Amino acid sequence: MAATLAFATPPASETPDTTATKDIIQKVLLTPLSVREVKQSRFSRSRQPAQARRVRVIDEHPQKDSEGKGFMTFAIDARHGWAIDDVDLEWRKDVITGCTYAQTGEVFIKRGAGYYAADIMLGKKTRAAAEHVCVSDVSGAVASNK
Amino acid sequence: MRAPRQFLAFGRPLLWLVMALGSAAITATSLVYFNDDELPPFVIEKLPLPFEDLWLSALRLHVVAAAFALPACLALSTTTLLRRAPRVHRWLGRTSGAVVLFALAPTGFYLSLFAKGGVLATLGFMLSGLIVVVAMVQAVRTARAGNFVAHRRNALHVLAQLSVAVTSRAMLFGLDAANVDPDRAYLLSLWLPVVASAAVVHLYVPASRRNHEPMPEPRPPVGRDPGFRDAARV
Repeated sequence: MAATLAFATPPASETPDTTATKDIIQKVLLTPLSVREVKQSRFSRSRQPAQARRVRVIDEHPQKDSEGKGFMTFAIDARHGWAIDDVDLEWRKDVITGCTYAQTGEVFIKRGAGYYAADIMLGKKTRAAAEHVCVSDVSGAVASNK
Repeated sequence: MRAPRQFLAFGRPLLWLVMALGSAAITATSLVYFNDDELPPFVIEKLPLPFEDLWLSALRLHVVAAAFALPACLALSTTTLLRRAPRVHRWLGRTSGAVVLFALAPTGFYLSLFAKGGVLATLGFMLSGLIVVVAMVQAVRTARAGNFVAHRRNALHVLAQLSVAVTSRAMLFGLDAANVDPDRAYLLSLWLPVVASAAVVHLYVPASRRNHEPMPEPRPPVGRDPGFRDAARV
């Protein structure tokens, strides 16, 4: 059985925001994903489930989108292969990227040019998120700096 | 070039059994594609897709066609069916030809445009599809012409390419276990079986009667069976 784990990587500077983000990702995405992957067929052209995953929170503090909502971007790395105890085994970086909204507990995944609710990874049909989602409001930041 | 007889004696039935089991496993695991409530991982990792509904319809038709074509071609490759029920062999062959040419190959070509692994993967699937189409057309033509040696060779080319579905999945599983880069693994597990399958048939299946083992003598027809005498004469 593939053991999918979320490793907390030693961040440059762990903040309450990054810890909260990791907790949300674990709860909303990684735990349900690992449950789903147990049932996934191994005799398939789709990617085999990762043996381990780790979350890297990119931002130290939340960014604001154009609606003023705070979000944190993250990346998930994965390890495949049966030699999971091999510490030298390479992590594949940025296998999943996206952002979380701590206030609502939402997780969005980047797919192509857009973002989708994390449900898409769990096999649920979802539409692309609104354009402002996970996009930092640069103009707002510039305006607020003036 | 000839494969050793001992290998053929044990290798053929074993290979046949592996392919039959692999085909059954693929069919069983493909049922998830028909669940409207949940998207399977293979679909999820491709999203977003242009014309998603069209792609999913093509995938479903491809899955159904493949679920029929591979077991059918396996059955057609047996001398038992040819000997005991030549009429069934012919009708199964005709049906398989229609399914492959009008469902499996066209949907496969369309799906290949969105294959993981980019242009090289698309080319790999297209090459496989092209071999299948050309070989199937030739298999039908040679059967109608009564050239059963060439028919067998072409039909085995079709079967060999259909078997890529099994061998490539097995390779993907093995390469993932070895932690090979997934993109490289995907291309390797596509191109290697496609080329190797074509090469094996090309090298080991006789193209003419001169280096061909005698075909099994068909049993005398029980009822009226037009075309049987032609088959027996070749």
